[in-house]
Amino acid sequence: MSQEGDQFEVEVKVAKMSELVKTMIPEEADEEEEAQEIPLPNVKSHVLAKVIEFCRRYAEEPMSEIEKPLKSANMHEVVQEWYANYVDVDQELLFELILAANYMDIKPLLDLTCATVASMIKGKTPEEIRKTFNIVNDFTPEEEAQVREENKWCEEA
Amino acid sequence: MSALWRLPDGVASQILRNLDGKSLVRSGRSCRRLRQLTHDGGDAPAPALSLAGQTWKALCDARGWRQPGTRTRGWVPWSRVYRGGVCIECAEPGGVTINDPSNSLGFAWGRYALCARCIKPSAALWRLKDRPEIAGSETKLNHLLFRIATVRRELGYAPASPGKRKRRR
Repeated sequence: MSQEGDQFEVEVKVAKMSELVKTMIPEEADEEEEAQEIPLPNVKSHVLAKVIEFCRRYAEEPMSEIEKPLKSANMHEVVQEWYANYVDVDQELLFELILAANYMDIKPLLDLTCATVASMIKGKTPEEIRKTFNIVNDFTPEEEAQVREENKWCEEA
Repeated sequence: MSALWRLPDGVASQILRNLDGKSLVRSGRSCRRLRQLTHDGGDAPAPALSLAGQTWKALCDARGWRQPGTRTRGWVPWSRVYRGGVCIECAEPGGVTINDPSNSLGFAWGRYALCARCIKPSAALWRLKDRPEIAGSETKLNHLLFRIATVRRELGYAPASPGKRKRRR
């Protein structure tokens, strides 16, 4: 059950991908048991629906391990087609998914969503990173100069 | 406000752990919070490793790069271990490490690396002169270039130009 009180019916096997949900389901619960309600007050309906979409797919076709550091800024070159398409969403939802994956403790989903944000950082300049994520440059000019000096070793002249 | 701000440090750090050294440094230049999550300059040795330290350590672990000293002696921040392992021209990891036992040029731990692309004779290596170890000294630069040319030859690469070959003899 989501924050808004919407109910989603999920098979036990799929639901147990969330370590949080797993702790709320009795050990012996299996497919035959009658339905059990699990409240997830921190997760909104549209996010939970998306999370369940991931878990269902994962149960059918597990996601390949994401290699670190990322080899490419293009998620299509990092994970299978379906998963790359899955995270092709707006930033708002992407960050909601990260928070949900973190809260519900679903490691593969957290790996995927975190890697996706990282792919949006990879290869960008500091200014481009700020623009992408709507970040305000809060360095003083002195600090900025100092940071630049420290990081000269890996910056193009 | 950025959605990135809503994430707890641990999760933000998990995002950063997907990045290579260059991207990490660049993200650290975008704002204070990312700087804090990527800068391990004043770090104490493990197990008190900061999130930033853990991120750099993971990068080094993936390459098999270790601390030059022991935990109590000669321990340096993991970002420096990483820095010591990447290409001195372009800061990309991988390639060839050249040992300089006499350490006449003063590279950290008496060695330096060139990535797979920069070790090739076709690579121009025009950034080397700006390295702090070279500090604009032509003598040092020539010494370094000579050493690199030798290693290239040892690796079986044909010299880039006949002019260079003449100078070597």
